[in-house]
Amino acid sequence: MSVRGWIPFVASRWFRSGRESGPSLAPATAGIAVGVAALLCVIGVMNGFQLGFIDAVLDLDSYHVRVPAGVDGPASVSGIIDALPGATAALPFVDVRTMVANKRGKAAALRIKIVPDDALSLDPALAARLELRSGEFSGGLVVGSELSKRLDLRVGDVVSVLDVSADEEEGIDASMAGLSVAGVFHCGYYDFDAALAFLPESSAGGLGRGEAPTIGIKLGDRYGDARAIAELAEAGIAGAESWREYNRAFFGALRMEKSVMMMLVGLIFLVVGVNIFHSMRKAVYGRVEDIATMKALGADSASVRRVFMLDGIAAGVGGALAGLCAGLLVSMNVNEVFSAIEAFVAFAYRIVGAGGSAFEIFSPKLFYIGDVPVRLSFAETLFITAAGASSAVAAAWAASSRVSRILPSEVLRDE
Amino acid sequence: MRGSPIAFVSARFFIGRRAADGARDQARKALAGAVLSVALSLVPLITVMQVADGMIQGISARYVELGTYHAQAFPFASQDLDGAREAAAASPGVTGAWLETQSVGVVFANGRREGAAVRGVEDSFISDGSTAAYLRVEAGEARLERPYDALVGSAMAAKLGIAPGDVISLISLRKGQDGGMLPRVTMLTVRGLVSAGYRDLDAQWLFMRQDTAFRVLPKENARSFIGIKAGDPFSDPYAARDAVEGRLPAGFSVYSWRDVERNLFESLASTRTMLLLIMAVTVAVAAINVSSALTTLVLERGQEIAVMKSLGAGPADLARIFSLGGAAIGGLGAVLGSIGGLLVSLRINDILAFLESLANRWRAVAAAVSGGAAPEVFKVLDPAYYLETIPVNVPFGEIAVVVSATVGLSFLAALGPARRAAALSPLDGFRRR
Amino acid sequence: MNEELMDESRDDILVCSRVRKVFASEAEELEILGGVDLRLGRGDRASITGPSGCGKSTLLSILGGLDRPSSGEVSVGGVDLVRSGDDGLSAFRASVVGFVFQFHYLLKDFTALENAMLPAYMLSGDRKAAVAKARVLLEAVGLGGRLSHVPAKLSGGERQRVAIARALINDPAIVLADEPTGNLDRASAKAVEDLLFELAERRGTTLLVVTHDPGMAERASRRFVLRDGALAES
Repeated sequence: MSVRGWIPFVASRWFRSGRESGPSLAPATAGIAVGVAALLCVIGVMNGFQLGFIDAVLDLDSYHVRVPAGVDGPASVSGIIDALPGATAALPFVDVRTMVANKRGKAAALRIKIVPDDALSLDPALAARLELRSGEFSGGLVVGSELSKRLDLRVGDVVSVLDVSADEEEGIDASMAGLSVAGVFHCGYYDFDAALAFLPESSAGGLGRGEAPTIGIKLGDRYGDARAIAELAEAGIAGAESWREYNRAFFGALRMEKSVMMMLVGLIFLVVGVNIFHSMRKAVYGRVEDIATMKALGADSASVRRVFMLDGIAAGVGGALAGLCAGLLVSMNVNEVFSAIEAFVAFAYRIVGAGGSAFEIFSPKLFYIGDVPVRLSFAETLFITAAGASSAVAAAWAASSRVSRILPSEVLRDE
Repeated sequence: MRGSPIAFVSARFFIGRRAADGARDQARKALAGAVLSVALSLVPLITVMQVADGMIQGISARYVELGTYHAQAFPFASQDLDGAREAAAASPGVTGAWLETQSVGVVFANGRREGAAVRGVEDSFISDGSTAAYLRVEAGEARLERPYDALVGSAMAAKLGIAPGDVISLISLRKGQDGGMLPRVTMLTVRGLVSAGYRDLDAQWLFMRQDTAFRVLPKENARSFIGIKAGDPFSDPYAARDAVEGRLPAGFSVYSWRDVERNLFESLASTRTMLLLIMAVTVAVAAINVSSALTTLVLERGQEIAVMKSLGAGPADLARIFSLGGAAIGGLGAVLGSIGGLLVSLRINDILAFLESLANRWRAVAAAVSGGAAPEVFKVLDPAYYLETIPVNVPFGEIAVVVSATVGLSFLAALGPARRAAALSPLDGFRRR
Repeated sequence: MNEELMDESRDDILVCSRVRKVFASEAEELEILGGVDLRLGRGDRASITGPSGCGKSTLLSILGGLDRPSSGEVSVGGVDLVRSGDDGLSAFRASVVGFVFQFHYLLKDFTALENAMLPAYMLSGDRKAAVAKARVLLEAVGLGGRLSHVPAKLSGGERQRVAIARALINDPAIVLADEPTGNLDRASAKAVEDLLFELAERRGTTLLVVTHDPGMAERASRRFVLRDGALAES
């Protein structure tokens, strides 16, 4: 029995008349498709939100690798660029936690990031993420859109910024510095739009003096952080920290949210598996005599079992691929799908005659977003599709275990 | 046929007698499987519903008892805060009324600094039972006895590296005589570190005495109001507002917590709705199992169906037997699933703790085997981002809706096999054997 | 007869000695076969008769590798059936024996041609060769014009003839037939019986039939009777 060509031959003949012996696998196949599609959409949207946050945090604020800056030598910007071939940008910055007040005295807490004047050309990712609503990135403070709204700030306005420095002997020295607003940016991440500002160092005056700058490094691939740190250490640059370290709690929580979601939605596959299991067992029972005959003719249990496995594989792979297509289609057009649903609900409300407020799935008012973002990584897509397919295969395998217990000498007797 | 013979026959159909040959047991097993999968699909739905409710309730309670009060009275054309406070406290149904002055500042300690949301509150607010129930004291004590005492949120305390007894500098901004802004430094003594268990709420907390805050914090940057508590804020969100309405001096307007935190609750509620919709997909898929199981039943009971038809049962009777049977399966599964979901959510904290210890042990073993570094301890729900404990209560109304929706769905799923049974001709049934 | 059994010089295709088969139920042990000895040479055509329920079918199952004896030795076509594993028995059934049952046990979703060729396809994996071989055999059993009929469209006798073709397709050393004409009317039964014996003779295949029919039993060159669990040659 080295050649198994007969297995698909028998399997295909049995599927064609499968409805005689048990419920068809079509609903279960549809179930797998629905599960895969739903999971892809859910994970895609979650990823969209999460990676949107992560990208904003990394691009605007925390960089991929951070190194305490030295005046010159290896730990300077040029030294780092030399040591790290994979770096796309390196620039020194100083974070100043302070307060800002407008002319009427209204104040807000603010973190000012003092960066080189040519930060936007040094760091293209920063430039891409930072959407300048008005003004420009030079000559003064660039504030977030939410802060500009709250303190009623326009380009050209002068704000008072608290400038504190502490000295072991003299204690705290607090004074005010006047800075003009040079620009207003928007990044879509509320915490930054409300409480982060950029300041080119030529406009900083005395702000942030005495604070040791940090060099923020961006890598072509942010998951290459460990190698980058090793390369830095080789070049004699110590104290490098990866984005995964200093954002551990935040990223850990995001990853956990996603795992919990995967688990909950993944239960669909368990439910579909139960369905396939019972349908297949029924099919095995319906063919007890055929199975016994095949065995009497010399087929071994494993081969007969494989005939049934093909059924499960067909249902699993077919369903998973259909779900993959549907899921990708929906998630690529999720905003259109959502607005269609919203329009439908509005229409239904109108028919019922209920007034009600406009129905929105992700209201921009509540979630601080414009469009619903979607992102799927290849690995996750593959994982979800494979999980859907394997639930059917596993169910088929479990259901066909019965095959080995069918004994021809018991079934094929006519006494 | 009348109703009761139908019930008799369908009960025998569905429950059956343990058949001598295993083949006839398939339908029974498939039906049990359908019940199981409906139950299985409802467990996460009910659990998510429950736990989300609990979390929303827990978050709301913390916001209301620690942050917004049940209602806030703002002076828009009055200076008489103390009078308003007395009037509010004397209103029937009001359990407490306190003055609060809020502002922003920068806290400076150990050479580090952090932006702070300064809350000048009364000591009696901190020690009030409804507040103390949700305010956890991580170190020191939650008292504001002396004028320059302060309580710091534990997240900020960790960032600044401060402990009870330390002196911190609060820098606020005030308008100088020439119209320019001037910094003002206030030295405060930390008495305690406190936490609300919810990061969005307590990350920037700095509590100080209201009278001190009112005096030292610049008026143009501070707002003062009267916080009012009255009874249970959730059964009637507007109770506190209504209690003081019309009793305060002229020039005050009162807002319920519901209005103050509307966006927060709407976003929580809509997140919960999204989750439930996603979970509902699983229930829909489980209804397919009901359909498959009934198809198996129709195939297996073909002979009996034929006998019944030859005895005069009409297609409508048979359709009814199977569609009602489907609804019954769905109902049984839904009840079991709801019970399971409730049990899971009642024990959710234990289950999460168990999962955590399991995951940590596994990771430790994996690290030992691969010789890697000792793993960081893994927490399923990080308290920095979630509530530390998930409170749970039972929404019977919603569960009833879920159960009846599941029954309806199963009924719909049963219509296909029911039609098949109705269409079966007596001859086909006999020939099948 | 014992001496004959000991005689190893004969070209024996089937050797079976002291085969016992006991079915244990909760209350008692039921001995179906109590020490059966049987030897068949290449080309023998043997029959076993006996009362209903005497264990004829059980013996045939054991000889065909479908069942195992409780004790004793069985060797068919050089294969030790007692010491072979399940896969060994499967391979044995595929290549050494051919079965014909009382009921045809054709696969209902397959045509006559496909049913007949399936064992060869399973054994060799060469579908074309299997089909060609099955075509020849089906013509030999007189079904050349009914190749693409499914079992439901064939008469009882025709089905049994397909089953015979299927049993012979892998050129087995021995064909085991269990009441091959039991379900057929007299005329078809005669035709099937003739076909079975003629084909076996022409191809030199050893044949062992279990039957109630005295006429068929008489036709065998060696005739055995199974009674009270013991086999006797008459």
